[in-house]
Amino acid sequence: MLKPRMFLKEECLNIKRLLDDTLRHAYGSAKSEEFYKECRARLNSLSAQVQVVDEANLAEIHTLASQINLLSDTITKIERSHIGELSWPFALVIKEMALAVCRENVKAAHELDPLFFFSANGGMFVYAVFPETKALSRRRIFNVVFPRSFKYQVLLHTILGHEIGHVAYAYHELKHELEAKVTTVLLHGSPFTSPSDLQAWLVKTYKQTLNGPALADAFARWRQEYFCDLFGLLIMGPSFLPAYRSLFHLLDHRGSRWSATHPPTMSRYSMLQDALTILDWERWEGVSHQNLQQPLNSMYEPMRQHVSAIPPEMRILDPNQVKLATTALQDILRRMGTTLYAHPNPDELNGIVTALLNGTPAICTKIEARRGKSKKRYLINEPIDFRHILFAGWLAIYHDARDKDDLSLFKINRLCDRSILHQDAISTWSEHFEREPVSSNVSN
Amino acid sequence: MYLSPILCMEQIGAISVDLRLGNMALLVRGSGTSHVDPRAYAKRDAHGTSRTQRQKFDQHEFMFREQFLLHPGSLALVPTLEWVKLPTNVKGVVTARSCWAREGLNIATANFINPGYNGIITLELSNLGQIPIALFAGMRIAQIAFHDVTPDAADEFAASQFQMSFEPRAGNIVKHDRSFIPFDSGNRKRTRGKHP
Repeated sequence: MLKPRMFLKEECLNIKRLLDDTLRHAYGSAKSEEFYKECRARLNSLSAQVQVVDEANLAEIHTLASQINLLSDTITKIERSHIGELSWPFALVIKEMALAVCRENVKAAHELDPLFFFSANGGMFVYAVFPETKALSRRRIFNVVFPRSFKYQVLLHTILGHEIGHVAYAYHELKHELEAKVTTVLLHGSPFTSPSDLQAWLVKTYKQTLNGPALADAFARWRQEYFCDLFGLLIMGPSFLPAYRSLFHLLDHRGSRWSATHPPTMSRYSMLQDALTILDWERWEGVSHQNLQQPLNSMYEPMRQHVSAIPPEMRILDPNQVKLATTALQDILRRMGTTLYAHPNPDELNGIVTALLNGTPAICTKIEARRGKSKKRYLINEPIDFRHILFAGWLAIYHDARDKDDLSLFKINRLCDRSILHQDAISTWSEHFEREPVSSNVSN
Repeated sequence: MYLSPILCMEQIGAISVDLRLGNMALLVRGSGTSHVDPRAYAKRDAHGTSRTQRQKFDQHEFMFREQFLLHPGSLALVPTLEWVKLPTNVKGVVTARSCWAREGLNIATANFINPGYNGIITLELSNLGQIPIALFAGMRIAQIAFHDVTPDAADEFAASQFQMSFEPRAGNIVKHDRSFIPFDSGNRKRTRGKHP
């Protein structure tokens, strides 16, 4: 048998080789240098601790083994994250949104921003963000997971809004504020105000119980899940709902199943429908736009019908509390740049829907003539919020005018993906634009 | 007609519009295929045909401001950043920009875009120079000019096999030419007098 300390010293050397090996690969949506430096710093710290740990101190050795194991796991996942396995334009916008949430909490230089890497996994229901709750070194590393088969299904990716809620909860200070101002308000008067209330509700509704630690764990997790649903809706906008329903309906068509980690889906639908009503998104002025009216109704109506059939015992959250929590969360999100979703101008939305139905990406360019003597024309590239593109994508799917043979779900998703890519091109162009010196005589 | 995005007015010339390099490249994998063999495309075996086509190219995706090197003698299939939709009475003609051609970057062959085409345009890039060329997504490397054609020409002829392309892919070089390809006897029976 290898002596534990010797084994760990050897493993640190193995991980060093593994880390160097990752540089063979093209990294995903972030540069390799940042990941390399962060993982190297962690490895150096662990190696130094292994050098001095007392061979007889088994508890300390076990702790170190666990941390080395975790580092090895993280590096391997980073190595396997591959830009070709996911829609990187979408990954970039999600990363920016998550960073805005993290920066709100950590008011430090951007060098201390957490690192996000994106990886694909098998299965339809693997959407997740795995946040490190405590950084082992200076910067946290978050792993965002997409289903591999959904590479271009950007309309379903809006479900990641829920997962960014978990990112917010990973920061102690922000979690404290969200718990106090949003989650507690949201769940006030519900069976989820204490573990004993939850136990009583489980007994009454399902005739089931949870034991002590499992009950406490379920209590904390369920509360967070309700919060993350509301969070996802408020940051992603209306397109969060059809994505949410599409996935959850396949997981549990009745919506009554619960687990130690997730509350019954029916109760979550009910809360989201209340929020939707409060946000007035169903009666939005855009509904009067003829081209939008039909797809908006087709998108919202199934949810309304579904929720109207939910039994009273599953309408757990008080709509008044949902209203108060929604307002509180909106106030918090307003501090985080453009994280809070805002409805588009109906004309803009109509333009995107029309473009998609014509089988083209969203149009963002206008060429207009200058006023006055100059005959020169100038160009306006109106930035389009990626959430408006996704909203339009769902409306195109629900639109009666969609030729289902010609314009499949796949094509609409890819057109939306392409539209987001075009937005990235416009941002990159604007961000780094420099007027060129007028010296070149090379034409064309 | 639809052509988007246009990032600056300088992209629009008197008789053409510049096209930018998209974010993907298919590069021929040296170890993937010994030679181009039309019979590989003509096989009815779905696995074999698909494997041959997929293994022929390495697919690289790169973000803006990331470098992509095209080595001398290499062929890369790349998409344009722009999405193009032509009316049925307009054809497109794609050529290289001469400033890039002077550096050895050649945009080969298939430069006619059918009337009614909708999608990205695939450019076949090759480096005819002696040294590698660094390329970046978003750079203007080609240009498209438009020509009127007989109205509704697209209705009269078969649609391109590349209609509504989202990314470059290998074409089918034996489409409608299978009669001339000698197959292995085990793969297909000869059907005299019938179009296979």
